[in-house]
Amino acid sequence: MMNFRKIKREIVNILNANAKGCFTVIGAQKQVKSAEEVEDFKRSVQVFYGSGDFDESSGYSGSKDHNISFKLDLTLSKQAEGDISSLIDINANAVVREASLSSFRNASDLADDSFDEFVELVFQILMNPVNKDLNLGVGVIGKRWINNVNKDQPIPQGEVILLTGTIDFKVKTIEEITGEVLTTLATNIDTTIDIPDDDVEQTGVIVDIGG
Amino acid sequence: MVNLRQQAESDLGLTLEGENWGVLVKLVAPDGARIETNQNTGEPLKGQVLYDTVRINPDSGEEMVVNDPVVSLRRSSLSQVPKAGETWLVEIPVDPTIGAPFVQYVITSDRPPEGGRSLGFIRLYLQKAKQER
Repeated sequence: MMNFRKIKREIVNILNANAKGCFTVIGAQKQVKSAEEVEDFKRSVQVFYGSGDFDESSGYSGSKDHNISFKLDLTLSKQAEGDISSLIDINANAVVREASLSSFRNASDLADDSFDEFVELVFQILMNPVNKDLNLGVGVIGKRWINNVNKDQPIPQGEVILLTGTIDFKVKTIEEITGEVLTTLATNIDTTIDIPDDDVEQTGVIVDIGG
Repeated sequence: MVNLRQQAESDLGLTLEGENWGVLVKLVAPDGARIETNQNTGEPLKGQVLYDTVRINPDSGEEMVVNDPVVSLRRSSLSQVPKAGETWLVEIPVDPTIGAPFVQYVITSDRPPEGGRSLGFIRLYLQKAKQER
């Protein structure tokens, strides 16, 4: 398996091990994101191989430098928060209700704070010196760094505010050219059609997939 | 004799508040005042509540139904009218069935109300609200 696949797997493992219930980790790029699925501490980080470039100067065998960009898509949603119990209490007076409403926090404010906290969590986990080698042993990771963070515009998604963004996580590694290909099944598939009273049995074809 | 605009405003009493569409609505204004009564009729305040909206998924292009409640109220029925930037509590039934319990939403500066005096109605985009810890 090439190093970039191992590195991606370890990024997912490291984030999972350190999430402590503060977020969820998805090891693939998920198309449909429901706002309810990512509310509060169910905010999610999707980890996937974004792009990579190879040094063209090396030959056709041996090793090649691989400069990788992993994308970490952050998604979260928030509701507005406030003292609802005072507002619906029939015994509460107008002054109490006024105070409750004025202290209500918009969903967009809460989503913005939650996103910033999320970035800090992911940054501290991945850039922790303890994770310098991403659990892959010395020599696999040449360098790793968080290149940039992008925050998108908050989106009113139904009754909540959805906020997304991306962390660009760069990793330098070396890939070995081994010529290894995926294992194939060395099996004959017999598609001969057995026709009654057909002594010749030359109908059909035998496919040999073996090497 | 009333002109067409006045007649259209008067018709809102049927289209938004009538028995075909009207759903009970309760409001709490920023000054703490509870607004639960129709200023025109003295009856419990009602409005049109649309619970779901059809949206296009930007990733797949497919249509999807999103729970996105919108409340339309006749302006003249309100003793106070919500303005942009204000925070109001809005209570509506959880669904349009008789006797359904009320749930609490807010309108905030995230999505200001729409509708002006010439239209005679105001549209409120509700945001889910939860009890702070």
